[in-house]
Amino acid sequence: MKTLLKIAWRNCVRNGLRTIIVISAIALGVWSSIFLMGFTGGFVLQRIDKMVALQIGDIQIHSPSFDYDSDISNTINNQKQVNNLLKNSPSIEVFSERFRTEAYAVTAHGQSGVKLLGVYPEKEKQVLGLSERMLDGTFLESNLSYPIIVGSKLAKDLHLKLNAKIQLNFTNINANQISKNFKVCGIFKAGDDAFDGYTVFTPMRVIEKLTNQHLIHEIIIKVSETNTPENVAIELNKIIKDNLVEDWKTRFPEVAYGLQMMDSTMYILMSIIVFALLFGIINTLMMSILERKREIGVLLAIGMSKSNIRRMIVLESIIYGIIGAPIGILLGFLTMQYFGAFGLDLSAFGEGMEAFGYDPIIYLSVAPKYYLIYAIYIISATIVGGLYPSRLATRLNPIEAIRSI
Amino acid sequence: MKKVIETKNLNKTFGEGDLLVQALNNVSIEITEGEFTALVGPSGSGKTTLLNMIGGLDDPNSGKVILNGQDISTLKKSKMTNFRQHNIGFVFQAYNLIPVLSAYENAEFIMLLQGISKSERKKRVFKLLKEVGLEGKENNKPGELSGGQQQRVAVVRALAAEPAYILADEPTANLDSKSTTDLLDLMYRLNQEEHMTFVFATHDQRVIDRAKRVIYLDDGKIVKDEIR
Repeated sequence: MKTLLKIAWRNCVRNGLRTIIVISAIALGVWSSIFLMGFTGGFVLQRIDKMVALQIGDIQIHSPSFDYDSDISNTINNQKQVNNLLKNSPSIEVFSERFRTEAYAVTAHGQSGVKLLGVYPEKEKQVLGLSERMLDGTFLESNLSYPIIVGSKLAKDLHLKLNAKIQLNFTNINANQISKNFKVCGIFKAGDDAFDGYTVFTPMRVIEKLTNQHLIHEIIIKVSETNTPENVAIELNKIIKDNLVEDWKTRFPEVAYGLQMMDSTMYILMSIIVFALLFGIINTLMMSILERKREIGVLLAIGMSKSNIRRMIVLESIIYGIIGAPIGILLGFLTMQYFGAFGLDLSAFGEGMEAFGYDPIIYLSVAPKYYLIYAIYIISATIVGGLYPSRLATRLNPIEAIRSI
Repeated sequence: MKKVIETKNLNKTFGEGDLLVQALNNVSIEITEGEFTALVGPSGSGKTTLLNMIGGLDDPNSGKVILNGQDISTLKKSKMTNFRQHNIGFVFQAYNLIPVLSAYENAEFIMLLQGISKSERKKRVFKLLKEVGLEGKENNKPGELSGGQQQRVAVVRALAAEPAYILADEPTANLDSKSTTDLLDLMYRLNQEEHMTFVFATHDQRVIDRAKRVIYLDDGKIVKDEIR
């Protein structure tokens, strides 16, 4: 084996330029796909993180029937008990109770259906990071009687500015219409048009004054740092029986789907590159075998076994991968470190991206497991890539091969 | 004397139908230990086919090949490789060394495949390289040696493995006359002193002149077997 490796290595060194080209192709292929993977990963993760941090929270609790019928009467069951349980749970950092209903907003410039959320501003601020995303005004820090904050898209659609008037219409638990004029005290921008164009917040005290009731439809939770939303949700579901506790992935499967999609995208990207490299390697090896027909003929004639010839050629192939893949992975890793820390600024191209909830600065990110998987992929590809040419080599007739020029 | 090569009624055809070529036609030869024999004939006479048969590189359509006492038709292909490795030394036309290995590494190559110890390999290679006048060239790659020198390394490679006989296929085809004479002198000396059996397939009159036995082939038949 040592001799085979020596010959294989020297064969690679002998045609230095070709070896450098193949290794560079492997390294470049690996690097560029890691970059693409980092880009895709950063893009998707950032969007998901942002949605969770600004819109969803880690865990949400609703009445089990809330999803089928978001009627105002579908409040959280056993509110006090739930409140106590949440307060005493060490895995929960903070939670925020919400009133939630569909409302109809009217201004001098237009109208729109909205989701009206009545919240405790101080708690809400701790669960969601929306208060840091205020374009104008404050997150309900207002002495107005009927303050409201609206998303930037809604503000744009309805021509709303700070202190502008907006009338909200909704029904109370007895199906009586409530109609009230609010004043805009803040405009937020979560960076997702679907959210920014549809969501308004007002303090719980305002809702209580309007409905004369304390109605809680939704509780959003931020788990403490050492816990994952999934585990805490399972734990809470065990103790909170008559309400539905869902982590964000369960609550918004379409968001979680983004994660799965990303995983598939990574594998597809890797496979495409590996597939392309495979053909490059096969091509190179076949060329080098045709050039060495005579040599291989001699080896066969003097008693080197076919399996050893095959091994020698596969070893050459593996050498390409063993050098090329780590170089590509290292370059990819360094690129990820750089753009992971400083971000890749796409604002020059990214005007439209924000509308879909994407940031103009992408912080590239590739999960460490992909580096390892990629390395295994490439090395396997070089083994597979070496097999066909090696078979070709052993099919040579020694005497004919020796006589060929 | 011990028979190292024996063929009985060898037949070999190539192609089919109108293109059928009878490469060997009932060829029976016996070569004993210590011979210095040339297989001679024009192109297409069957000498290379015969050399392939006695080199264990090709199978006959009918007939028997017994090499160093072993009927090779009974050997499996995989065993045949091993048999060649241990029994037959090959010297081909020039430039048939492994270009990426040094003269020393080329010379020890077959012994490596045979699993001979490092010290034994070193001993044999240094002794033989000295004998053929290549002392000091151990670390040169084939590309840094002349055609004659390369061919001498090839002879060392074949000899070092201690085969039963050495087959040389046009060994002088690419050599100038000085190198040809040197190589033939070397082989002749090895034959005289060490009783190494040599069989050549050749066109080269200089080789034919030195041979102790010349087997003439034409159209796949032995037309003359001359012992000098």
